[in-house]
Amino acid sequence: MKETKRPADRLKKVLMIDKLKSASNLEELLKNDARILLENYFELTAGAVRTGLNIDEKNLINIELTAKAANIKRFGIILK
Amino acid sequence: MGRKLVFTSGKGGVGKTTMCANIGIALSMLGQKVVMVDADIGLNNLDVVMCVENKVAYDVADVVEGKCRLKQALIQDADFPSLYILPSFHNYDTANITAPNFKSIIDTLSVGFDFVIIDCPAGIDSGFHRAVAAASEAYVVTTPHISAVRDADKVMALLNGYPLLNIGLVVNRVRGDMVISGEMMTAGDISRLLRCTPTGIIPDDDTVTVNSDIMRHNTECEVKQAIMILAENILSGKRRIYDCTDDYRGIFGKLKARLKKMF
Ligand SMILES: Nc1ncnc2c1ncn2[C@@H]1O[C@H](COP(=O)(O)OP(=O)(O)O)[C@@H](O)[C@H]1O
Ligand SMILES: [Mg+2]
Repeated sequence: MKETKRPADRLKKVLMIDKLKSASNLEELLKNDARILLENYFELTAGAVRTGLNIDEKNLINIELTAKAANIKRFGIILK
Repeated sequence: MGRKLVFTSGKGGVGKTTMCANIGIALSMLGQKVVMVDADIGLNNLDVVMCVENKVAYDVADVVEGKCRLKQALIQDADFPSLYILPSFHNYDTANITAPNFKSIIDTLSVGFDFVIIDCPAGIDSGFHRAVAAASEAYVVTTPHISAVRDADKVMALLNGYPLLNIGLVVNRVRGDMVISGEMMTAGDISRLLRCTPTGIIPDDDTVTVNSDIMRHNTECEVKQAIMILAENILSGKRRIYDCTDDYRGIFGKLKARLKKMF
């Protein structure tokens, strides 16, 4: 059985996700910028950067960016 | 120049037409000269809610096409002589009713009336644009349901792109008993999330199901009081709010909430 959320909390999450995916494309901007930034330091695996959004038990919003890295890059040299 | 109000929502069935009709009646009860315009062309209902469907001779499309003068298309209300309706009756091609054409009709009406009230179609396509582009103020109607508020949020973002003097919020169909039990969002929750103070909060009331033009009827009910307060707020800029939970507080209130649940 699913736990029933307070309707206002549920709406908050819906509106947040809408903002992330809105016409201004915040989600894509975040993903692209994060990938470019991270690629200076890490050898990222092929999977794209993912975004996630959750509201925690303190009613605060967690905006998560997840990337998978196989290795660390240092001064252009890949350490194996 | 009169004020040009559009009632919009994104989502259908939240009470735009009901609000237009009853706020129009309320404003004319408050001594204002009011004309309501049905911009929901093709899925018109304002004529039915206002009980004038059999009086329609010409409609907004005929005005645009020059088949009649604007004055000929206006229908005077049977009870309130300072209230008029411009119907949109025909279910045909709306290509001629462009946004500029529609705006010029609204502008002409605003010269002779204190209020022009535009009933906007659901959705956010050309019909929405046509209705909103003609208005000087917008009121977003929502119910306390997540999908309706979500659409209201999107509509508000779109409205920011229009040169409107004011964007208001009307929370319709609030169930005081469900608000108290925590099952329904409060208007406070909604206004906090939409970052917009409501101009009016309207209770869910079965009398509206029976008579859509409830303001015209002689019954005493919650919804009439709430709509009158909303109309006064629109007229004077006041911020009085009807408390939908008032009836469900105290011992008798709790009993009433119980009974409402049972039946
Ligand atoms: N406050 C209310 N209480 C009860 N029923 C309502 C209320 N407001 C609207 N309704 C009902 O909801 C339905 C849809 O309303 P309508 O005004 O046609 O919505 P819209 O124009 O946004 O599509 C109608 O049957 C109407 O009677
Ligand atoms: Mg309608």
